Amino acid sequence: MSLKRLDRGTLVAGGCMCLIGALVIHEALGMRLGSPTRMGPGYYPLLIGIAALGLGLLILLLESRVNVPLDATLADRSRAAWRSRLLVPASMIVFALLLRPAGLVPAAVGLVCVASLAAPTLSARRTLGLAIVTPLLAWLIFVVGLGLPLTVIRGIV
Amino acid sequence: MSDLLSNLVLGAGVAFSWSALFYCFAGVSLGMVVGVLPGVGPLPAIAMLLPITFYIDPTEAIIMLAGIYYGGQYGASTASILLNLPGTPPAAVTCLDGYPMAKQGRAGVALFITAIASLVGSMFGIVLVGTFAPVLARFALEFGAAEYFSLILFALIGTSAIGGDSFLRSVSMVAVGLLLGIVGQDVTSGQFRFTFGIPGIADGLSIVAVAMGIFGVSEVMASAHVARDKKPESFGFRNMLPSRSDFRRAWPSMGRGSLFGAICGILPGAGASMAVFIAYAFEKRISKTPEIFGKGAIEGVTAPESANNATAQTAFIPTLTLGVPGDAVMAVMLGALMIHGINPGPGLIEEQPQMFWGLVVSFLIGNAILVILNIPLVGIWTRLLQIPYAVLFPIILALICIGVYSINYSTFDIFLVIAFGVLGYGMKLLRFPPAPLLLGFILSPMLEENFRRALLLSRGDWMTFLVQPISGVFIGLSTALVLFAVITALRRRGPGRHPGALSETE
Repeated sequence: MSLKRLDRGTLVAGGCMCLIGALVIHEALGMRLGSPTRMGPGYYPLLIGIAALGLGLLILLLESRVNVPLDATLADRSRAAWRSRLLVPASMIVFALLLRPAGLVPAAVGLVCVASLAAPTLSARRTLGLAIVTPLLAWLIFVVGLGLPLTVIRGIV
Repeated sequence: MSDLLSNLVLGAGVAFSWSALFYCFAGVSLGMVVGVLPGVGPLPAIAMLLPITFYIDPTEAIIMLAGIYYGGQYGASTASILLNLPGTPPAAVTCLDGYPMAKQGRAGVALFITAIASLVGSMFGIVLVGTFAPVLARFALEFGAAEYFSLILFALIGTSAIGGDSFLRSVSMVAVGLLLGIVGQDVTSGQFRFTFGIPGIADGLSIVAVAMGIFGVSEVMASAHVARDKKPESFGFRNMLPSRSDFRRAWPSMGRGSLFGAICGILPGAGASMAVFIAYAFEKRISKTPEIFGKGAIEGVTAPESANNATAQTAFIPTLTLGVPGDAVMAVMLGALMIHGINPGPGLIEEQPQMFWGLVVSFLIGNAILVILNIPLVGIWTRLLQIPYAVLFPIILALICIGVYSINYSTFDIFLVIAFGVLGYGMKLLRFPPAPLLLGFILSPMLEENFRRALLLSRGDWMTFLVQPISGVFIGLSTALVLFAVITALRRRGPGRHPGALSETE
């Protein structure tokens, strides 16, 4: 059995489960275990950690020889796919960083600007429209509708 | 019988108030919208609205969230029939015959009969919620810790054995979910577990962050760049009324579909996907003309549609009376109730009759609204299908961010959502299913509590789970499910056949 015939995704999947299991067992052993009658905080996590480790080993043993093709969208290695993988979380980070210092509207506009870079099909006109509609919608739902005490634009509202 | 009537009157008093009607309408319309739009399912929609419901009455909150769920079942069939794109996983079966019907110029007929089939399934389900749930609740009053532990275990194993293609990967996600559910302070000892000194998670992980990250953000990450330029072909809707022979063939299939749907809804872990597959396979098996299935057979649309709507309603039975949800959406619903300080369980119907019966009556109202939304207003939904995903996802992301921030006014929670989005994306890559994780996450505290209590009561005797009859039955069923999953997995491992065989041959 050569290594080439093993499914790489499954090796990673099984490996991750083993790692999670091992880490959890390590953490749980650092807590008081107690007895079945009087369980300490570590007892239940320890059992699940053992289960996770066992499941990881079983995945490695039983499933790694099956070569399963990835879903087309996920296996996509084009630049467009990478852009959406990275820019979607990035746009949310921009929102999180702008929300307190600048307010709801600048944060939402920032999110739209970064997120729209992930969609190559989006025209400039539509992006502009989104940059107006998204903050408006957010303001209407959360500030007007629910009355949340959010800063809309720092220094103005 | 008169009991039921007076209860329904009580419920009507709640559900017919102006504000309850508004939230019911808002819920089902939103459910239609997210059901129609591929890539936005009811689960992220419910998770997104969770923070909003903190500000309204719990009964009305649950009426609205429930509306999104069953409204989504109606909406999903529209996209299946017109676009061949399932809005939710169970709707994939509706594509099989719904889309061919549309291609034959019978889109209007298909949409009409689907709305009727959905209504029949829902009504059957609602009747069961109203009659069977109180009986089950009375029965469940006798459940002790051992019974609950075994029941939760059964629900977790059931979702893993049935959903997804790899049992091992599903159970792995249950385990990860259970671990995520431990994060926070241990109730008994007060010790912080798996918090790693981060104050933002000392109270446990927020269900909103976990659900929106894994189901919402990861989906956007995977598909933001995909241009869905699939436009619905212009089908004529003038001919909407099914012929008499259509009806003759459709009625019995709706009845059978409803029955399968109801069984799968009540059994924790079975769920709508299983119900629609059984209903479809059964229709094909008993049909005198199995060859027309896949080419526009009307029973192939009505049976699964009745089934998934019956499931959507009856899924509330175990959630509300046992406190054990059958699928991921119900798990979020349970989370919503707990956030409002309501602990679903056998006592719920007795303690909160106005909530339970108000919800039941709201189901009736919601379904009536949905039929109106579906039959005369079908044009709106076909126009909605033309909105490109590129316009939607920035709005979705913004709503997710603000929603999760508004819970604690902490920017940390936004980063938590991003982290779970990345985790969800990684899970997709490694083909780990997300639903078992969410179910495990929400049930973990309950599982641990009952596990501890059961063994405390039995003085550490593990046999307690087997000796107590009800608990023993659930353990037996769980074992049977594991065996079933192992056998199917071994069969698939024959030469050239493996879990991914289907996708490879496509």
